[in-house]
Amino acid sequence: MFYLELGIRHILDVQGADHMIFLLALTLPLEFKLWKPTLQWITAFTVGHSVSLALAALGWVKFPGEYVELGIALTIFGTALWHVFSGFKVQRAGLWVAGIFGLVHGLGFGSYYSFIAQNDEFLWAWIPFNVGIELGQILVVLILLFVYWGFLKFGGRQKAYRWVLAGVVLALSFQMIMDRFPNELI
Amino acid sequence: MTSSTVPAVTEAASDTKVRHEFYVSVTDINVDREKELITGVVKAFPDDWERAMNALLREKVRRYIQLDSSEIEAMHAQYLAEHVNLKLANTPLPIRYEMTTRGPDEVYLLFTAPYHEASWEELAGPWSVELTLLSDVYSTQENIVILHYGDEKFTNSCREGNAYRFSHSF
Repeated sequence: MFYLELGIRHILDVQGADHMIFLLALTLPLEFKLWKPTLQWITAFTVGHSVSLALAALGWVKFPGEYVELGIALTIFGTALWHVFSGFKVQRAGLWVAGIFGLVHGLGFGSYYSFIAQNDEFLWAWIPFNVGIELGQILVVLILLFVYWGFLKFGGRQKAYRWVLAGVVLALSFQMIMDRFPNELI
Repeated sequence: MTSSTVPAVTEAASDTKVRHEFYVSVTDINVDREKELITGVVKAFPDDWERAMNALLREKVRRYIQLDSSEIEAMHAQYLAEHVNLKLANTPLPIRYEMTTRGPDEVYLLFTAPYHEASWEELAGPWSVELTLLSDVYSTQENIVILHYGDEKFTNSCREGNAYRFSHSF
């Protein structure tokens, strides 16, 4: 139960807003009636995240932290931009976008996970931790979809909130990219 | 966008450089039947630990790196005594700092606590564990504790959400 709770907290932790901003970007074209692609996209993100987290925690893949952090910012920016250019259409490619970008996000958490799990059984902790991540993501996405639904219910226009949120996500992630750009690349 | 959302977004954007700052330690606490002792190992990230020690030394206008080994040992002993509190059935178990070792990416602090004449059954608990390590320096510090009793173990965490303490009985 502890690792399940830890996984949920990992997603809901406001200090690590990267995940939430990515979920916001990912769900821009989604709504309650599109529950199937919603669940597929979130699960694809969790699978990608879980795989790279395990590989990084086991030391099988290693990337410099600053490049991973930059990569995470780029995935957020790229996802929002993709939705803007595709006119917020739900496309099958979303599954791949979520899965591949999930791989990048998982790398950012590998060293932390390796640090906390090496005292416990690795697999025993990994499974509930990732189930917790999935549950946390479902919770965040449900809240987002509920907010979108509420906005429409009170007469808001779908196009309006999508463009405003896409603008916010693009601005935030652009700022992230600028801030995280490694000094040696400048 | 309303005037109230602008500062919120600006504030969030100003924090984008800070990647997810995880302040965490892992502490294994074993009821060692053979030695008739509680043995504990605190594991922390070396840079977190050094920053914390430097923060504590700030008033003395000194740096952790300037301390000699006996000063470091004394500082660690005092810090552990102040920040690790174990109770068995409401009886405090005094912590004794043993030593510090360093791995490539971790610093380990070893401590012991005598449990005197408690029987094995009495050692099942109730345990009260309070670990405030580094929380005086990092507001989001999380101290994960793995409590071992024979073949059984219990993992929990001491953090702001539970006032850095938990109780458990095996």
